[in-house]
Amino acid sequence: MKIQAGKSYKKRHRVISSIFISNPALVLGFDLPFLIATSTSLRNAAAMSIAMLFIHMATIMFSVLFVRKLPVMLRALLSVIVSTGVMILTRELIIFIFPDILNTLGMYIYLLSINGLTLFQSLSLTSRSRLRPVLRREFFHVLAFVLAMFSLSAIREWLGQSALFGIPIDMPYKMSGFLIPFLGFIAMGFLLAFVKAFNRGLFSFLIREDHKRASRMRVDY
Amino acid sequence: MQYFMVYMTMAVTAFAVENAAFTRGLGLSKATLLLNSRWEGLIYGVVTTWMLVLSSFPVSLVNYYLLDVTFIRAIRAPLYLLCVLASYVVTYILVVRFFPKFQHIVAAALPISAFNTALFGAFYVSGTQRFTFFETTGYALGTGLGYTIALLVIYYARKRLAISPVPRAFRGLPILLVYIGLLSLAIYGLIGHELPI
Repeated sequence: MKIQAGKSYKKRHRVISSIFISNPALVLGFDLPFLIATSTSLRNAAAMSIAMLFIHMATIMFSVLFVRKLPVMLRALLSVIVSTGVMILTRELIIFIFPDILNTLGMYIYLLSINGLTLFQSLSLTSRSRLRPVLRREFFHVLAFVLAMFSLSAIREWLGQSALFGIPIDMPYKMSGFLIPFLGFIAMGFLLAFVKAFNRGLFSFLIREDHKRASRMRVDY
Repeated sequence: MQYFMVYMTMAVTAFAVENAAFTRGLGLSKATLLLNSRWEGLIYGVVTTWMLVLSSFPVSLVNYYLLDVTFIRAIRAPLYLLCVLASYVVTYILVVRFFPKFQHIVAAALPISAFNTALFGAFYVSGTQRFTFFETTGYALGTGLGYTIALLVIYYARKRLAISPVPRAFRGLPILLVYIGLLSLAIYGLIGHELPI
């Protein structure tokens, strides 16, 4: 019974479902390298988010329009080629907006062309996939990634550099260990646990609300 | 002998000290963290190692010829991709021709293993650190072997953690990431400094 209620809930509340319950980064475990290694400042988060938006949406659009009916092996090849091309252009845009960002992002900006979310989603398209629903769903997935990236970056920059977006904050201490990847793993684990607990509460609350609304409608009728 | 020592040194460095998964978080995704069996991890690891070693030959040539090019950063990505694509096609043809029994296994693992952040990450490190031919190929072999071992360690860790008393919110991926973070901390203690990204 709960499984059916969950499925109908996800269909009606696509936005909340995409951002929290089906968050590709925090629930499904995609794009962990970028979340762990580059989430050391909000500037990095902004740059990676812009890059992810362009790379992911352009590749998915190409996949839906041209390659969704091809075999999986060929689809992977073509998707990666398109995402690499978009990455090169996006890199120039990011350098224009944040001139010295490549020093902190390093090779991870280039690795976005083969990020797991884009590859997995383009491989999972079927011949029945339609452009608008797919683009809408993937836009919310990117939004979910952005949310995860900014949350983790804010915590790590605040505690690791006593700053937010490069603006110093008066703090009694600074734990520079927060900027090292090992603590990125641990912080990511805690963030996932928080989202898991939050999702359970949210899901139960919304199912209860739906039941209440349904029972009210039956009484009124 | 000297070149062999260089090769082995880089391989051991990439395998243990600069393990792609534990020190840079490369190659970790839903497919690799939530493996169904140790054989799946072994297959992913072996195919990734093969792709790394095979692609390292053209990549080392690209690195050599791109040493003094001014717009190197812009063209490195598509050139590395071309090298990996060539290896992808060669691998597929070899498997279809000589190992048809394993075709379905390799076909399932090849896209994830070939287009893997661990694979491309190793090549970007070799490019920015200006490795020679033997250093690049040794680093590629070590990265592949280290990645395979990391997958198996993560698989067995997940099995152990599944039967441990873990709080409900931490069960599954959260506690696994905390575990990997602690392993990463141990390796960071061994290195003593942050690795270049």
